[in-house]
Amino acid sequence: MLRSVIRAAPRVNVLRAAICRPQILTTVRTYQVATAKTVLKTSYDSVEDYSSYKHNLFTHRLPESSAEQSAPLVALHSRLNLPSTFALSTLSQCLNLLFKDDGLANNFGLNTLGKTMLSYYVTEYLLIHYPRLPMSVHNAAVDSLMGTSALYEIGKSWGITVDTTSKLDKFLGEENEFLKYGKLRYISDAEKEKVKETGVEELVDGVTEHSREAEAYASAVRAIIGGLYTHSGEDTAKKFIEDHILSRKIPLDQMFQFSKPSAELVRLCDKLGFDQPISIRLMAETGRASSHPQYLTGVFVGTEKLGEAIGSSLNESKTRAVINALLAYYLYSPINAQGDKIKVPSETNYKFEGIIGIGDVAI
Amino acid sequence: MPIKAIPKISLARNGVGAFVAPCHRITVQYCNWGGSSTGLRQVLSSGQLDHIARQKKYTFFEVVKKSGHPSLTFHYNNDTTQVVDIANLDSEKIVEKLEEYSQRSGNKLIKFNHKVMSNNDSVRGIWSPLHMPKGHRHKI
Amino acid sequence: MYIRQLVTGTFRTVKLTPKLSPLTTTRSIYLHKGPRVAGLKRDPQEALVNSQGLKYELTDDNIKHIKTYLGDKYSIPDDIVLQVLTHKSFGNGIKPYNEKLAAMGSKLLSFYLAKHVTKSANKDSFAINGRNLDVLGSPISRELGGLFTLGVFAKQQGLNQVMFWTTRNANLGFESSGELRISAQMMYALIGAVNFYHGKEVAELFIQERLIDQLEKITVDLVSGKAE
Repeated sequence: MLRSVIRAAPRVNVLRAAICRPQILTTVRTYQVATAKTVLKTSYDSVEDYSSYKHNLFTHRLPESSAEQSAPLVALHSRLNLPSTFALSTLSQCLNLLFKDDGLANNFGLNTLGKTMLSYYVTEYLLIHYPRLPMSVHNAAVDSLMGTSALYEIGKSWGITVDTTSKLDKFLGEENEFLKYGKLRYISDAEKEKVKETGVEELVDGVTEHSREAEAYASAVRAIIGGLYTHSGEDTAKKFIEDHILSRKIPLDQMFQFSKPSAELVRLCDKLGFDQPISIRLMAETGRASSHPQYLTGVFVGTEKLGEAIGSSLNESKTRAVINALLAYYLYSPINAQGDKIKVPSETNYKFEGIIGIGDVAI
Repeated sequence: MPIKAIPKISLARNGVGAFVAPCHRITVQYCNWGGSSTGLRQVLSSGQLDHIARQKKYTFFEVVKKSGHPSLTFHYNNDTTQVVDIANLDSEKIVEKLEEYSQRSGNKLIKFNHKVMSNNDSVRGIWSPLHMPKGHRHKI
Repeated sequence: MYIRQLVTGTFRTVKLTPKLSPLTTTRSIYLHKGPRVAGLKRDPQEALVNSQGLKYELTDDNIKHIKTYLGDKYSIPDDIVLQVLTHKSFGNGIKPYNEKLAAMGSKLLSFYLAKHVTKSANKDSFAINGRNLDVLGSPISRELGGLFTLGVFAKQQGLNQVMFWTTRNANLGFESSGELRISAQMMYALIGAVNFYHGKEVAELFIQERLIDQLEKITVDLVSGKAE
C-alpha cells in the first residue's frame, strides 16, 4: 500500500525533495507503472506466467455453430476475402465491444494485438518510404492511415453495420437471434432502449455519439487484423494490411503548415553541412508595372537549385520557392537502382537501400 | 515547433490492393398475394434467388414478405440506399435489376465532362510561360 | 558594451572555392564562446559537449559500448551508432538524432512482445487458435516494452555510458534527470537501427537473444513492486 502511494507521488514532491534533501532523490519514483483494467477482472497464477491470464468477466466465447448461422457475418467474411482458417466465431468476437453481453468474450485482446501489429507495419512503411518527414507530419501520416477516422471509414466501407435494436425489440420484431453476431455491438441494451430526441446530442466527457461510433468501428477493424494474425499467421495479416490500409493515398503534400519557412531552410542547410550559403534569386518576371505581375524565384545553394516558384509579388514567390525547396526535401522517397520502391524490413531478402531520417531542425 | 501538421484522412482507393464490393446488403420485398409480385415470386420459388445469393456470397440477402408492390432495396457502404420498384416485372428483368444495382458504387450518377478523373496531380505539370528563353517570352 | 566585455571569441574566415560557383564569396563567421547570447552562433567546439563533458565526435571511445554489445552479427555502421546515441535535445537538434530510429524500434519491440506474451495458452483460458490474448493490456505486458524497463536495461548493460543529450539538471537522479527516458529511447533506436540494417527477422532474433530474458526480469520486479 505504502509503495503504491510512493509510486503515485506527483512531480511536485520530486521538486520539493530536490530542494530540501537531494540525497534521497533516487528513491523517489516518478514513473507511473501501468495498471490493469479492473473491469475485466483478470486473474493469473503468477505475474510472469502469461498463459495463465484470464479475464473472469467473461464466461464463454461464441460457439462456431452459432456464428455460422449468422448471414451478415458469413457475408462479411466473404466480402473481406478472409481465409477459411479465420474462424467465424472470432470474426464475431471482433465485432463485440461490450463488456457485459451475457458473459460473451469481447474484442479487447484482439484489438490490442491488431493495434500493435498495424502500428508496426504502418510505421515501417512510412519510415522507409518517407524517411525525411518531420516527426509531427510523420505522426499525422500514421494517423491518416490508422487513426480513428481513417479506420472508421474503412470499417464503413467493409459494410459493417451497428446492432441498434434492444433485446426486447428483437423479440417483438421476431428478429433472427443470430443476426446480431454479424453486427457491431457497442451500445448496451439500456442505451438502446433510451428514448432519443432527434437533433439533440448528448455530450459526455467530450465524447459524442458519432465519435463513439467511429471508435467502435476502428476497434473492430483493428481486431479483425489481430484475429487474422492469430488464425492465419503474420504473412497473411501483413498482406491484408498492405491491401486494405497501405494501399490508401496519403495527401502528404497537403499536410505541412510552415511558420518560418526561410529560417527553417537556412537551419536545415546548416544541419546538412552545405558549405555554401543559400541565395534566393529572381529568375524571370513579367508585367512588373501591371496589376498582375508574375515573378519566378529560385532558391540556390551554390549552383544547385533547391526549388523554385511563381508568385504575384516578390515576397510571395520567394516564400513559395522556399516552401517548395523544403517540401522537395521532406517528401523525398528513395527508389532502388531499377526505379522501383525499395523494400521494407519485413520483406524477404531485405537489403537496406534507403536512408534514415536525421531528425528535423529547431528554429 | 517549426512545422505543424495538418491532419488529413488518407483517400480510399478501392481496387488498389483489395476490392470490397460496395453493395453489402440487398432487401428483397415481395407480396404473397398481389399480382405485381408474380415475377418476383417466380424468382423466389424457382430457386433463382438462392442461386444468385450463392454466387454473391459477399452480399447479405434479406427476404421480406410484406403487402404492397414488390421492391429491391440496395444498401451501399457510403450509407446510401437505393430502392428499385419491380412491380409487374417478369423474372428476367428482376434478375437484370439485381445484377445492375448490386454492382453499383452507391454514388449518384453524374455527367462528367472532362477527359480524366484522378486523385493525382498531372505528371507533366503545368506549362509555364516564364520558363521560355528570354527572347521568346511574351511581353506585356 | 556589456556584451563586448563578456565575449571572448574567435573569428574564422571561410573561403569558398571559386570552382563550384561563379560567385566568389568570403564569409566571416564569428563563433561565440562563453555564456549564451541571443543571436550569436556558438562555437561548436564548446556547444557540442554532453553533460559528462564528452565531445560529440565519432571516436572509438564514444561508440565502443554499443559496438561490442552488437557484435558482428548485428553490427551497424559507426555513424549510425553515433546517431543512436544522440538525442533530440543535444545541440538543439543540429546533429543527426535518433527520433526516427526510436520510432521504428519501439513499434517493432511492442509488436514482438505482443507476439511473445501471447504465444502459449492454458487449457481453461479463452485462447484463440492457441494464443492467449487475455494477457494483453495487463501491467506486465504493457511494461515489458515500457520506458522504465528499457531504461533500466540500458543502465544494467552499461549501454548508456555515453549518450549525447541535454538535461535541465544533471545532478538529479537516474529517473528524475530524464536519463531513464533518454536511455530507453536510445534502446528503442538501437533496435530500430538493427531492423533498418538487417531486416525484421534478424531484429526479432536480436530481441530474442539479447534482450527478452533481462527485460522480463526487470519488468516482473517492477510490476510486483520489487524494483528499487
